Amino acid sequence: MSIVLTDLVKRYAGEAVVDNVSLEVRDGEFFVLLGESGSGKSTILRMIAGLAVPDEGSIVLNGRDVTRLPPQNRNTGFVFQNYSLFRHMTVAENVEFGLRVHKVPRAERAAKRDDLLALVGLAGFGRRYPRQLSGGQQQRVAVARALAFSPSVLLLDEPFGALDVKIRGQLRRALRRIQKSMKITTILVTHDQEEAFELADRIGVIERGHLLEVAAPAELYRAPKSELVASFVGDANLVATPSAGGKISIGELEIPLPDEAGARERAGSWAVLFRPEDLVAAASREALAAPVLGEGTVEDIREKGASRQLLVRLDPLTGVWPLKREYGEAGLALLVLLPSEREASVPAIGQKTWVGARDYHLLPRLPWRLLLLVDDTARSAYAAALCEKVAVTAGARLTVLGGAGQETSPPVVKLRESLPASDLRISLAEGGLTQRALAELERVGYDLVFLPGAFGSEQERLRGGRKGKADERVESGEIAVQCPVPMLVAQGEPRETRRVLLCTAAGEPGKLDVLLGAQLARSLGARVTLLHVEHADPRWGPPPEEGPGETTATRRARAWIERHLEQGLRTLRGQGVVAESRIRYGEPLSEILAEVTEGDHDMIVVGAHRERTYLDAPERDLVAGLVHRADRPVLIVKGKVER
Amino acid sequence: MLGSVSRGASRSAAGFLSLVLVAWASGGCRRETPAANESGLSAKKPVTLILGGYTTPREVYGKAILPAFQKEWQGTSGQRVQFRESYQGSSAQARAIVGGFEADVAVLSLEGDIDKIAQAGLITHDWKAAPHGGMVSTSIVVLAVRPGNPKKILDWPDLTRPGLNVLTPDPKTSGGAQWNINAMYGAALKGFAGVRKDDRAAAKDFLKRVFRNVSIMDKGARESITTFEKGIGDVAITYENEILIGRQAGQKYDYVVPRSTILIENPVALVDRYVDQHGVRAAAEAFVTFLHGPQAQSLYARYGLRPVEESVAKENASKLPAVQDLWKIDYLGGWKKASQDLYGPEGAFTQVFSELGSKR
Amino acid sequence: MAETARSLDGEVASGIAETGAEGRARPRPGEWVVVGIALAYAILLLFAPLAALARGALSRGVRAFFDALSTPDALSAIKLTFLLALGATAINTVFGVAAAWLLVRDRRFPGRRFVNGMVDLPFAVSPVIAGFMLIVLFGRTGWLAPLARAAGVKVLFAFPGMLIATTFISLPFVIREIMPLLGEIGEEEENAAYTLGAGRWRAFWSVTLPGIRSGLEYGVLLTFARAVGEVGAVLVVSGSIVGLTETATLFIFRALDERNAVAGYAMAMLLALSSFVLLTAMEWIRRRARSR
Repeated sequence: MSIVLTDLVKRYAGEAVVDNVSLEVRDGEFFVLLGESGSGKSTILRMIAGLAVPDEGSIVLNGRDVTRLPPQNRNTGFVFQNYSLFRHMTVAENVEFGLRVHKVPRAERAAKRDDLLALVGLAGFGRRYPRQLSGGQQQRVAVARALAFSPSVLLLDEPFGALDVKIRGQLRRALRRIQKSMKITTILVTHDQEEAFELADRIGVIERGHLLEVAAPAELYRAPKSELVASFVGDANLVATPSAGGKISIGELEIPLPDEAGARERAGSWAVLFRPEDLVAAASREALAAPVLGEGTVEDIREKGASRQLLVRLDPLTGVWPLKREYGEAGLALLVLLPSEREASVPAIGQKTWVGARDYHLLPRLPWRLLLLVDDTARSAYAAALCEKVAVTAGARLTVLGGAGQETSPPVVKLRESLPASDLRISLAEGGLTQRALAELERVGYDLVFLPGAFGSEQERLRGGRKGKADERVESGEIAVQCPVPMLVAQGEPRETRRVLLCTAAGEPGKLDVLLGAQLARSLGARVTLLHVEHADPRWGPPPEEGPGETTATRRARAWIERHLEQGLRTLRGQGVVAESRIRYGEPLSEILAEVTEGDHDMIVVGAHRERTYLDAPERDLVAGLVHRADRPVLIVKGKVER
Repeated sequence: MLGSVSRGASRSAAGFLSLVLVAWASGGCRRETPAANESGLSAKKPVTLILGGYTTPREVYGKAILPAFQKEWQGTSGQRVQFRESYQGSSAQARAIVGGFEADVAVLSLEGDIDKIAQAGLITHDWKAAPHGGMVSTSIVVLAVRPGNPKKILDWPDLTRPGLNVLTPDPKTSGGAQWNINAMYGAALKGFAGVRKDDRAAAKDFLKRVFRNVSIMDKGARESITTFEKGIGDVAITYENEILIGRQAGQKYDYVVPRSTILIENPVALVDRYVDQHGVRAAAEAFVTFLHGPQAQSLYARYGLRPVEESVAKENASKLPAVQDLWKIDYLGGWKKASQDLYGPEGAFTQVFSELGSKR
Repeated sequence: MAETARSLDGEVASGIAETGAEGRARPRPGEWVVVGIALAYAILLLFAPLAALARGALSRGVRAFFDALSTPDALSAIKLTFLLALGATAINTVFGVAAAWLLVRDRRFPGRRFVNGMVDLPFAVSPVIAGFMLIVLFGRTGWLAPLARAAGVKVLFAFPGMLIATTFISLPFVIREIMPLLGEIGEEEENAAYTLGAGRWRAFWSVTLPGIRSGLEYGVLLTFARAVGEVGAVLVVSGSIVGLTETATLFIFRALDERNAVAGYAMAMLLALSSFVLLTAMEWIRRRARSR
């Protein structure tokens, strides 16, 4: 093993830029670290070279622990993104530099230098200065320079990023050739997938400091182990659908679940990957010659030069939804590769076509992470009931925090029964429940928190009598202030959730409200009313409907709202939720409350997208007002909804 | 990006370099050798005497007295003596000497400045026991005016005329400035300034009215007169010899001798501490003696000073104008009392200065 | 069409200057006024005084000019000024480069902001105050006086004190010239050198130094020029001992006091000429750097 990295951690300003990365690179291997900007890949490379020092972990090069060694002593060659040639030296002097430092005699130096310059295709350029060379030529010099003193490892940090596509290709091939002939262990860092695939023996995919997967390019493409990697590398069609009876069905396609995971036969925990070349499109069902997924409309044709991709919008299939949620759309959008022989039968945009699947890959999904806080109040039991429903339907992982006395309480007992032990973690302890909850939220990234609605802690405390009792209560107001993730505040009479009122404002944050609301509604099996409240003074009544009285401004505003609602509805339906929309005019809080009563809704979804949510100020804040006066559970949407 | 290892090393390098700097500065590039052979007169080795003087007599020392002494000393002892001279305002010079300027001989304008050096423990002998009470030269406070005296300034009271521009140096640094103020104050008390006799308040008021006309206060007497020469001011209060030297250098001005003025007496003293440190006592003592002798005194006279040595004084008496009422610092009660009354915290001049200062 | 062209032309002319054949804009009346003011300013403040100096210096003839500058006092003053400037420049170059390096490359050492601010202290503080600081430190009752005495070194009223004073007042130039250059050049070339096996000294010498050379040259010249022109600090610290601690600038003061106008003007002329030479050298360096 040439290079062994063990649990490398690097932090900048408290954030872990490299988070417990371990990997091994074999002798003579060409290893590529693939990741987006800021993923930490360059940092890892620099740590290997010694230009950055890891906070934790170790680096072993050829059996030598070099973690604390300065770069001079590591015998690694480094090629920088911006070449970093010594601008005051000629090309020859640049290449010779490493040799001079190692006190190689002049004749030998000259011979080596000439060899290397020839190797990179720059023979005769010795006298020139870097500024007289093109980018590609400079990079070649950089490679020659790094190889001059025969390092044991070659490290390249996005070496071709600044170059034209054609040059990039040339240099890539040249690099591959050189590496193969010198058999030098090489790590190259890049964000370019094509580059990674062309050069690598193995690829390590890095995202936000985490090493997601390491595999040979083909394997990474055809059989990624997670949806993150699947969508990272190449075009991916990812589809989710609940499994039933040990298999997954999409249209006519039936996918058996693997045996080993038989025990994990939980709904929603699988995703199916179709690469564009796995799918076929045809004008008729019969012409497909592959299991049919469904029929749809051609939305777009993407030319890729060597091939063509169709973007087909499938008519909605029940129980099937895309993993990558698109706002404003319903139905699956699939990328289908059209092989070039089928010139004659390229469909036009808007045409209907049938799509079938010849191949697929099954992926385990990352489950939702839920946090439930329990105390001995009735509202807490309601929260637990809601949580249980969601957890079971969505196949989520649940953590429960509660007071010591909760062990035998009905909610906890029920949860133990409904969820498999591997997905359930219960932590009950004396006192300080609120503090523990906050600490837990900071420690782990949850997707949703279930709370009992408990405010006005002072009064509760008094009513509760002993201080010890109150310590075991959840202080929802306090938690709400600092909670970075969406919260479902359970309150009011426990009831079955059949109708959800989703309050949305037009604009980007509103989209998050809809997306999360859709997921929740689907898990609870509820219908959704999408509500937009337009500010208007109730004294004057609603603004005139379309007609001569309407100004351009109000018309434009109305059109915008209607489009937003339309998109919202499509999104909801695309997620498999039955939905309708309403517009009301007036003062937001009272209108929402009115709608709740009129529409007999069982839950409200509202967005609170400022950094801190103060639920203790019902007069000033819409969300707080809702929570205090609605007497229904409220889902408060905040933060970035990832899933 | 420096790794923590290299960063630590670079910091220690910087620390090391700063230590080197301190060591180097302490090591210094010029070392003063400690006191040399003190006892005998090393006939071959030259000796250096450092002179700390006030601004006015730089010509008489530089051009006349020092060369004369060098010749004399060479003759009597066979030793070459080299002089290092520094000239500043008398009080500034005294402070420099106290602060560490290693003058062997202090040639100052004010007795009080010599006392300052003595108080700092640098002069350990009784310098007033020397001939003429330690004084080597005298002069008087006069008023320099433009050729022909166009503003018709005749005596002290004229200085209070509104709109007149009067020059006098800064008493904080210049000895001459203190002589000037003492002269004015004394003259006022004596009734020669147009105010009531023996009336301190009136005398203070007189000072105030004069200083209202003072726009610039230079650092030393010499600077003050050169400012006058540049065309600034209508009248400059200064030493008589300052004017005479100026005339020798080709400057054209007239001067008025007030009816009542103070006798300026300039002391010289050997600074024991530094003299012994440098091991030059013999030469230094000889020098001070020389200054009291007839040769030096004649030279003083040639440069416009009034000699203290009687015979030489008599010889040169006719060359310089007589003063109707010439008085000494004793009239104001001696230097200590005068300094207290005028420049102390509650002193008359201090008050005048702050009162005027608030109006500027 | 023609109408539009004409009106457009008018707009162009009123807003922007017409371009001549070479592409340089021909100045308009308003610009002549500004140029005139700038010229008058330059003449008044720069050339006129220099001309007056020259006239004063040569008023008794060229011979007198050279004689005035060849007296032992004058020569000693010139020598002293030169030595002080040289010494201050040498110290400030070596330590300036080290300090600049540390300030730019090591972004986290304790007190970095403080040191960075302190570098500009000599600009903010009057040189006279610098002189007084030294007196407080090294005067007879000064805090560091025992140290100096133990080392047998006379600091005040002697060369070492003047050197410290001169070094202090000319301190910031090298550092401030180099810091932005170091920042601009960036660490990557140095990093490249490290990966190739070069130690930090080697990397500095071979890689960094060539990069900052023009800035360094410029900074050195500025330091030298500033040191030559210093008055306030050396006045306080030197005691103005003629022939021993009298610099060229102090010589000028004394010459004026002694009514030796020619000597004063001559020395002033000499200083002015040397400044001129230095400025020309600086301009030449700047040109060379730009053409690179």
